[in-house]
Amino acid sequence: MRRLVPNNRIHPHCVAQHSMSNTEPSKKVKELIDANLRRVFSEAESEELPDRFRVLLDQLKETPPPQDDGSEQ
Amino acid sequence: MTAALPPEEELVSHLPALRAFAISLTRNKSTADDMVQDTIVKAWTNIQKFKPGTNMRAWLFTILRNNFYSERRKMRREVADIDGEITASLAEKPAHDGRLQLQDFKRAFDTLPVEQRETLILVGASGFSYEEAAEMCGVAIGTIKSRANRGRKRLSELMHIGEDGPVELTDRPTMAVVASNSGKSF
Repeated sequence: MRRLVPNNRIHPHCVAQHSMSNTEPSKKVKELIDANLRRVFSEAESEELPDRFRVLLDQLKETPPPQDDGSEQ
Repeated sequence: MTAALPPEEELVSHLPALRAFAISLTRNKSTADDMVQDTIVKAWTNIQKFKPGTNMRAWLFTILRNNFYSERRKMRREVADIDGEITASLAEKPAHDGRLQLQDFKRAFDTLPVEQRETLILVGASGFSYEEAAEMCGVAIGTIKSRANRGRKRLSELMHIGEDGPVELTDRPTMAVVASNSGKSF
């Protein structure tokens, strides 16, 4: 018969999993990661928008606004 | 500020951020542009459903991510192949010199599971709160926190940013950002 792990002892595998899922990166690491995330995001954000967005928006502006099931405009 | 803009005009002002979010999800500019285009059409034709005074960026990001996951479910096999290629290309790269280069960072970021990329862009880069991100993603706040932690941890491992040793920074902008944030509490 298989021996059970006593209640007052935690199986090493559980400890490893527990610490892995709950360990937060240090504040310093978190700030460094986030600073670089912002750089990556702002770099993509600063790219010029494709012309096709402008064309699409012009087309949408020309089309009549959608009617909303008889509700007020 | 932007509250005075009509919704159609405000929508246009969010397009750069929407496209950046799409790129982070798809890792492909052409696909990202297709997704943004779909999102513009959906948002425009449903603009009457947007509640003035609420966060339009969150509304647009939500439309885009829902569209992304819907498409992803349809093309699951192809997406898995793309994931594999990116992971392999990162593994082939020789070890860097220990400095945090932005290109290396981007490559590392692209290897993260999409849920972690999404979460990190929302809360780490775009300034959404955990609560807002949870609502946008339709999950619990704890899930968002866990995804953010795991994503940051994985990035720190891939970039060899140690918890113990000194962190080397590449350039002044990064150092300035980190320095300016170091006084804030989380």
